[in-house]
Amino acid sequence: MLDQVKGFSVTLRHLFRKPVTQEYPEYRRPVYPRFRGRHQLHRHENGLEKCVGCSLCAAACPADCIRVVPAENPVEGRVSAGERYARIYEINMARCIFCGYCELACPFDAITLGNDFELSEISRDALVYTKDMLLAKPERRTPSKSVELYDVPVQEMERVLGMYDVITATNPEGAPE
Amino acid sequence: MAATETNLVTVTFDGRELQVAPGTPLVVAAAEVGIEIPVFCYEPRLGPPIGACRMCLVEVEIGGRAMPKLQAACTMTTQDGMVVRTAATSAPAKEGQDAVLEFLLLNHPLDCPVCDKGGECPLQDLTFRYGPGTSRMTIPKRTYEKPLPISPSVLIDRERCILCYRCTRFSSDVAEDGELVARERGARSVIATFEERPYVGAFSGNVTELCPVGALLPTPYRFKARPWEIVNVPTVCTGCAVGCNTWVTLREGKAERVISRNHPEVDEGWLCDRGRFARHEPLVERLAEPLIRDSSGLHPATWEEATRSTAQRLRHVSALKGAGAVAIVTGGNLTNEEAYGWAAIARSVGARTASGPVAAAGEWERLDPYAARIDDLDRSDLIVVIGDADVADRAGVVDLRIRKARRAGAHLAIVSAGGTILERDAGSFVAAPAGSAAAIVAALAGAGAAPAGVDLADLGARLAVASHPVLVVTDPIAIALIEQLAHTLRLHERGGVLPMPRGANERGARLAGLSGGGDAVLAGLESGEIRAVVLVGLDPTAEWPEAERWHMALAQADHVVTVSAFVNSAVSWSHIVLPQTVDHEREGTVTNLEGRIQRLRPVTKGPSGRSDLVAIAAIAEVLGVPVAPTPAKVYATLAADLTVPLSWSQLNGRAPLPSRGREARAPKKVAAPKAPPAPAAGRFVLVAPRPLFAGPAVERTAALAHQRAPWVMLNHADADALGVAEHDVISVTHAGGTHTGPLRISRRLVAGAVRINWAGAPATGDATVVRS
Amino acid sequence: MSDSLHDAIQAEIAKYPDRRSAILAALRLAQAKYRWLSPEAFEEVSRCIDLPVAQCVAVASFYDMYFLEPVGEHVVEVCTNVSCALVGAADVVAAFEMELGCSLGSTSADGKVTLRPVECLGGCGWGPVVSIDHRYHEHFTADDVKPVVAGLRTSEGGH
Repeated sequence: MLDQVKGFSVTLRHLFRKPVTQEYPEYRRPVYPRFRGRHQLHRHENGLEKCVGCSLCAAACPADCIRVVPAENPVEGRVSAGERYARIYEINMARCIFCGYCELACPFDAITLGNDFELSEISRDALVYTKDMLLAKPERRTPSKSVELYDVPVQEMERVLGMYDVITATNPEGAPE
Repeated sequence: MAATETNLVTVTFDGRELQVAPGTPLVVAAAEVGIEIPVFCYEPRLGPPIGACRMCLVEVEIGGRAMPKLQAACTMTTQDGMVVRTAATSAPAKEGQDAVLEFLLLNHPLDCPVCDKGGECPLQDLTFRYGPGTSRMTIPKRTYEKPLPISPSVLIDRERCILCYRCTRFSSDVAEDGELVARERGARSVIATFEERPYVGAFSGNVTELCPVGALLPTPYRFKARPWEIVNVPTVCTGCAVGCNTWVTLREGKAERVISRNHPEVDEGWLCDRGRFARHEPLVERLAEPLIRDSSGLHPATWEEATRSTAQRLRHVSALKGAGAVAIVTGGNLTNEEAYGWAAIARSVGARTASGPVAAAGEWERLDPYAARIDDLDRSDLIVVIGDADVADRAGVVDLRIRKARRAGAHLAIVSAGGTILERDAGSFVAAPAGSAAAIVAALAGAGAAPAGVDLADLGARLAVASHPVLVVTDPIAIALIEQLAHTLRLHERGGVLPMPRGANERGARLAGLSGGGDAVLAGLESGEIRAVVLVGLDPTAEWPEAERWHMALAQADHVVTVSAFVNSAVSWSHIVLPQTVDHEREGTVTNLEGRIQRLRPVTKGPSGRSDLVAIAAIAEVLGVPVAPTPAKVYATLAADLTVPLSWSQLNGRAPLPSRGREARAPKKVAAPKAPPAPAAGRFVLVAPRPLFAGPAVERTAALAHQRAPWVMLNHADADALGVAEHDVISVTHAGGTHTGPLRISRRLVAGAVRINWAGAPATGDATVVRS
Repeated sequence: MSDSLHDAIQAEIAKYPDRRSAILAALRLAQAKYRWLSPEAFEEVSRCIDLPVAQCVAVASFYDMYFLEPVGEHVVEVCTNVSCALVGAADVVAAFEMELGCSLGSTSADGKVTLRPVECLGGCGWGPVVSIDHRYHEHFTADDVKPVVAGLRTSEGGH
């Protein structure tokens, strides 16, 4: 009998507590800094694309979701810094398993995985991201937890994360620095 | 340690003992006991090793005494009691190899991500497997302008070059054109051509496969695909009758490149530039659907309509005009199975057939008892080439095989009007009047007198004593004459004749039942006897002699059916046009000049999306002849008919050539040929054999435009008499039109002859030559 | 085609079992005739000796003794290899450059003298060695340059 009362008292106590449920999408919980989401292609500071279309990302990809068709850089109006550039760069997000091997394979740090995971679309075709989409900043940004909470060299992490406009201790709004 | 056999020596590699013939390069001997010694420059096909790259350094001990320095395992050969320690077991060898790799990479840009060789690069692979892993290089590397075209089809990147000299050895020792050389010396050496002019050898593309780094790369393949994105399909080149084995690189449904699939008995891993670069592209110019002519011209039709109409017309003509009123003509641009299908159709309508322009010059089976294999050239001690056409023009890489035999000691004798690329290093060259190949063959066979001024005594004496002579006749002369010469020389007992068919699968088409020659068909068309003609993969108005007569003859025919990949001038006379598939789109078998049956695999789909055999089967079905629509089934029937001892599945890989009986019977005496008429005063004898770089695919390939650049060749005395100098632009007017190009002066071209490289010219005749 | 060169080259070819062996002599004859080996000269040699023209260039560019660029009336060649460099070849080169007003590897503005670097002349014990119109001068110092250049400027072509 006493045991039953003790049991229900736990239930009663919790009835009057504040709920822990987080309302998504009203509240978007910051992800860990190393969370791997949507890919981002990068440019050099002078505006040239870092990607030279070497297809090493496609070679590394276990899901076979990257397609690269390279071409010779035009003499006028170079696209990338190397002899070649990626004329077509596509990632099929429906197949991608976000393993980050492409990021590891890239010899030019041209592709990295960001924090964004809100990629749902209403058609499969729309999930094939083209080079323009991957070069552009994501429309919706996913906040990231402060890197200071984690055991990573902070300065290095700041530098890397600076490329994504994520929320960090020094950049709480997630806006470009 | 005594060798078990007197002619073998004992060598120890990393503790593993091996009995091997003395004088074997250590890299080869080591491979026999499963030890890899890495190499860059070593390539036995390029002749003796030169030890340029030093990658193969090993420590060697002979008779208990260590050699004072590390030795290059490619140039060092086996001796009895040798103890070899490779980098795997010897610290000095490992240190030496690391140092060599460090030196090789000293100026190498390591731009593997942008380099097309990346992923299939020996330098990358060997650095990864044997290299030190890190670089100590901090100073800037040497730079050059890049990429530079050394020809419109090959690009050079001098920064990547490690100066292994494979390409220059190919140029000087295999193709023997000597156009690609190392200029300057030491660290300043660069691979270059004279004055950066294009490297125009017929085999220049091979250097891209030989290059162990990304320094020489094929222009058409630049930035097309990486090695992990491609599928290499094994197939056979159908450019000429050699049938070089190839891999066709496929990416995203497109055939991007052709590389060699080394068949040692056929091509030895070489390809000519035509086989490597010529493409039936762009697809937009291809015929994609059948066309039927009505009163307002050719209109698209369905396959059903076109094949039914073709069959009905053939049946109608044959029923109305009797047997022999229909002709089916091919130039050899089809598979054995397609030829079998057309032959079945021909039999059912009583059609005449043709597989080459001249019937008498196409009777290849008469040479069967005397036929040589391509690799007979390797064993020959005397090679006799008779004819004005170049061997390379008729049978691409056979030219390289002949050069190899000559370097190995065979005597190369050439009887021609001169001006061919093979004659410069020939052992003996006999200048003969243009177009006299038939007379010379007859004279050698004792069936006639040699043309005036041609001394064949020396050649005859050599032929009489040679132990393994190989005879090559490059001009289309009557096979009966060659047979007679072969029998006189007893070539069924020693050596042989290497047939030189004009079409890629001319032999196969004949064997499958499309025998006969275009000359008879042309006569039949002109006399009105033949009322309907089917042209299969052939435009006789462009590819065969007597172009003008063919034009008129086709215009007279009631029904002309053309099976063609492109719109050509024969199409303009056609009533029905059926699209054809070409090279990499075909499935089936082809028969090469030796009679070797090799398998074609489909790599891509033609624009019509339909195999030719399906259309043939549809026509045959209307005519009530059973022809299976799949190559494997047709081949089974064909092989049974021809008693070919190889099944469809045995044609995989490198096709064997079953040995044939060599029972020769004395041929009937053939009348000596007439001498070609002498040209009128002030006119020149035309020498215009069909060049290697000709045909619809070559014409559509930008990377081969320079190979087709027209030129005119005259004897130096004639040039002096005309007052023209090398590179002057000369016009040659002959029955087929006017050909204009820069002058090349030859000291061996016979006086009074003019040689041109124009596919549309009549092979013989006379011409006027003027400076334009 | 100048037949004297053709005949001279044929005479050289006759001395060897293989015509390729005569290539150095043929190039020397052509250089003697034209003073330097122009592309046209290479083509002529190539025709005479019946070897690919690129191979003629390959041989000629290997050796220092062939001039692949036009030279002045006189040619001054300074050995810059180790032995000569150790005893002051650089000073000699600098003195020549100063006196001639042209850099190493080029010809003075008046077209009189060409100054070239050259590989070892075989006088390592007596360096620096300078070859002036193919005549060797040992223990050459920067002080010797002025009179030599003055002499060259006034004399007619001699090599």
